[in-house]
Amino acid sequence: MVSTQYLFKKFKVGLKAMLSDKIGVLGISILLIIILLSAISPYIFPLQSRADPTQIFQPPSGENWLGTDHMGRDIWPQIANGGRGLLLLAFITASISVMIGIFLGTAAPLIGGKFDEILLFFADVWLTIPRFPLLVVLSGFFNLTSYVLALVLAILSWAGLFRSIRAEVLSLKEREYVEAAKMLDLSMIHVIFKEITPNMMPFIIMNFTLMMRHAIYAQVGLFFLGLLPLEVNWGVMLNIAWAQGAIYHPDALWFILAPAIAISLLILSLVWINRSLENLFNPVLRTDHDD
Amino acid sequence: MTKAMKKELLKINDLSIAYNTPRGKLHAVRNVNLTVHENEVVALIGESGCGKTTLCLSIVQLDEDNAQLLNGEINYYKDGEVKILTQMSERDIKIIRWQEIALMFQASQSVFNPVIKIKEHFIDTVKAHDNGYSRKAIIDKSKNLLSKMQLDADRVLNSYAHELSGGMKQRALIALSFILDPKIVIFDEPTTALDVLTQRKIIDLLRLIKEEYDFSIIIITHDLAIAAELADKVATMYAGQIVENGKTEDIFYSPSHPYSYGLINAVPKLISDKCEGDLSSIPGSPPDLIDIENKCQFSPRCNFATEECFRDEPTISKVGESHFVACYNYKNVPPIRRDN
Amino acid sequence: MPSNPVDIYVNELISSHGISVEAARSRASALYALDLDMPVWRQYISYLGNLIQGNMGQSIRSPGVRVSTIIRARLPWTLFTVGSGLIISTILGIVLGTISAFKRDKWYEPIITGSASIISAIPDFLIGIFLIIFFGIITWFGMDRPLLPIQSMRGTHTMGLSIDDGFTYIRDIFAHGMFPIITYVLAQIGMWVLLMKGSTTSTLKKEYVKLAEARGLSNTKIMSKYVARNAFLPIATEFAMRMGFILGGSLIIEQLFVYEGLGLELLNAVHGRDYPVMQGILLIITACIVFSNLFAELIYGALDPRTRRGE
Ligand SMILES: Nc1ncnc2c1ncn2[C@@H]1O[C@H](COP(=O)(O)OP(=O)(O)O)[C@@H](O)[C@H]1O
Ligand code: SF4
Ligand SMILES: [Mg+2]
Repeated sequence: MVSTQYLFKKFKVGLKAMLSDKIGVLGISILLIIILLSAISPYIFPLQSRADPTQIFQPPSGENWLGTDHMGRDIWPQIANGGRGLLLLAFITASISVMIGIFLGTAAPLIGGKFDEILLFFADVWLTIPRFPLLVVLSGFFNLTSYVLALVLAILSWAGLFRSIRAEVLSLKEREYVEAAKMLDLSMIHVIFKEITPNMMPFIIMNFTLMMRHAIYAQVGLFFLGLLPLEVNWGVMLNIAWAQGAIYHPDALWFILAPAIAISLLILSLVWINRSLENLFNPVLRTDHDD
Repeated sequence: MTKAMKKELLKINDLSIAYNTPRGKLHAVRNVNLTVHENEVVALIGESGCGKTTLCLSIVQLDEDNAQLLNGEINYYKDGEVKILTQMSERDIKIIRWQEIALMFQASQSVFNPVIKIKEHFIDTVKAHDNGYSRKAIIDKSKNLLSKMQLDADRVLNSYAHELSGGMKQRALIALSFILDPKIVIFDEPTTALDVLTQRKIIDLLRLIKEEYDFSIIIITHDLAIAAELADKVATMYAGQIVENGKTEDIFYSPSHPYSYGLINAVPKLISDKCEGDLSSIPGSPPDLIDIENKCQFSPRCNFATEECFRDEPTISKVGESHFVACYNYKNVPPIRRDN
Repeated sequence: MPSNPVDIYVNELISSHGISVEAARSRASALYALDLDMPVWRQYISYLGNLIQGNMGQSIRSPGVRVSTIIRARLPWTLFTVGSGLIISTILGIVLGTISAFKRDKWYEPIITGSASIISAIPDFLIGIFLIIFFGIITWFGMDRPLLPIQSMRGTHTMGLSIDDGFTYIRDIFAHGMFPIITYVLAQIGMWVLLMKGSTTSTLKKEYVKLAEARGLSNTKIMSKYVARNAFLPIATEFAMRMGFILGGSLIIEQLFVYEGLGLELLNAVHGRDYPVMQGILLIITACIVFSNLFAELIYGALDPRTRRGE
């Protein structure tokens, strides 16, 4: 029987293995640095709101670590503070979407019948939706605030996880301990959350990072296109650099490179974490059927 | 047929193979000597991980990438000539493979390419060795072999692997192994993945085909009943070594190695229609093959062990006519009592 | 919050152009080819009916211009750039992926695989931005200007040139399409390399490949008939699926390079609240995905007998 203790032990073993994987360590370190910066920057690197026309597009210096922007403001505080919103929203999106995926993905095969069929059909249709163009169009109809966007993103991306979880549950359903749990007359909810979900944890965590990655891409893309309300984040910095023509301005190199590199690092860290998780869990998850 | 008439076909001399692993060299096969004569069936028994597969892969030089030949050689005798398989070029060994020695892998459930029909496998095999045959001639011969394996030849040839059951695939593979009339066929656990009835059927078919053609068999099996039924000679492997080697009746009725004794004694009835031999019945587990200690490898599990067993590895002793054992105390091992 | 595009449009006409309600409604009705006195759901059904007959209505920003005309003008450019990007990246990815699967002990293998996994993680528009910076903005040491004249490479082709100009025109559209195409290639090539490498490596381990060796087949035969045919299966499916996203995957890149394709048109429509154009383009994009999925299934059925149904 799966207990918290067991999970904790599994987690510890996993963490240990992950720390021995260089790429995984690199990914976790980058992510932790970004999270740390997001947490402390408002106090240590506060944003500078006043424009200073004498300081436009200055190169990096001891005072302005990453140079200055088109209004002469220091770029570094903008970078240090600019990941928070993206990360938070990506986290919320991934959480909602994973919850929908888990709930429907376990409920469908357990309830079975028409319910299962209809959901599966929906998921298939859902997967053919051109997500990003649709988001762009939606942002033309509605004012997408962060939380609405998180919800929309989550709703747009539940189908993939639903399908994989459904498949896993179908195969787990056949296994003994679920049978045993049923014999003990445990309720279905109990079966889902006590027996099945813990077994799929690796799978879910991997999907979580993947989902965060998609959410970050979508957000940054929409910000870059100027389709979301402006705030301070890396996507908006790109948008401003673009809108100001800074992208074609050799002096503005740092203004555009800094957020571009920051976004790349954030996504890379998620990809690396995902990859090292995959290496870690693969023996369990590997399905090498031939025929 | 008397002993003197049998000619040597394959001779493995002092073969040692190690795998290079992150922890160091894993000695999977250690100083193995084994001879296979014409028309002889040799059974290799021993629990999982004792090096049986490694040995067989080496015979056709299909060793894993990280395998390394430490010493020894494998000789193959053809028309009075010796061919040293372990020193052959890639081109020459390709000719030996399947035409002279056909190796059928363990757990052979996905040995057919899923995207081409079964008949393509027969045609590819023949053409690789002799481009002179027409497709029609190859198909005819395949049909003949498949019918001998009691399969619906036309249907099987035109099927894809996923359209056949496990037993059908196994029988098709056996048919495929005879397409070039090889001198030796090696079966690595041919029945492990199959259900009991199918196992029985495969063994019967093997016996039938053995009566009809002249060839030798090396069969690896966990199933002592199969070994007793098919084999002329049995070799027991333990921790990379052949610890006992002799005629089937010698090994099964008066084994000289405590390990063989344990294996055989654990099986209630040797020849039965249910194949129920099982090698996992001796308590304890085999040693780590990376850090090999200088002692009898079986000593931690051995009921006959004495002091010297823990000091030094035993050398080979001759027990009787072509019966060899690596044990200090082989004289103490009693014969097997059969109540039936 | 406005409930449907027609209402939004009518409201906008009234508020921004000061037209009377009647005038606005009659203009909207003409645009969408709808009877605005019908219930909204009947309007929508009749709009869908029009769509099915190929009538996607008219643009709001350029009144009188049919949506289908706009799409027909923009579509080829997107098809050209995204399609070239897809094909080139697939071919290069197959080659590099195969090399890295077979040369696992060579010094360059980790470099190929490493770069592939990094580049496949970076969002396509950032790759575009990096390209612009490195080729069009930075003046590298020892040069007096950037490597490429990025400003004059914007757009789909040089004004005034047409297909009648023959080779000059071809060269011109490639020069203009170069940045988007390279961006698409770089954005996808990593994925192809990793997919091909993974697929080849796992195929090489399959029992049927080992048995083919045991049967004495020549290496050429094993590689072509046993390895390649199986390793190629996931590539083929992925390719067919990606064909579906040819039209949808181009929004930001086209904006970045001011490349007047379907994606940029969609963006302009969103900014200009041109609902018929938005709907029309979204419809085309979705249709493309649906057809590619069907196509993917066909391809898979043809290549892999295991997926064929019936006897
Ligand atoms: N490619 C390999 N790399 C490292 N060790 C291996 C490899 N293949 C087999 N081994 C090890 O070699 C030993 C012998 O394996 P094998 O020949 O497969 O035994 P058997 O066929 O008797 O079960 C085992 O301990 C196994 O773990
Ligand atoms: S040598 Fe000793 S330990 Fe080894 S098998 Fe013989 S009696 Fe047992
Ligand atoms: Mg084996």
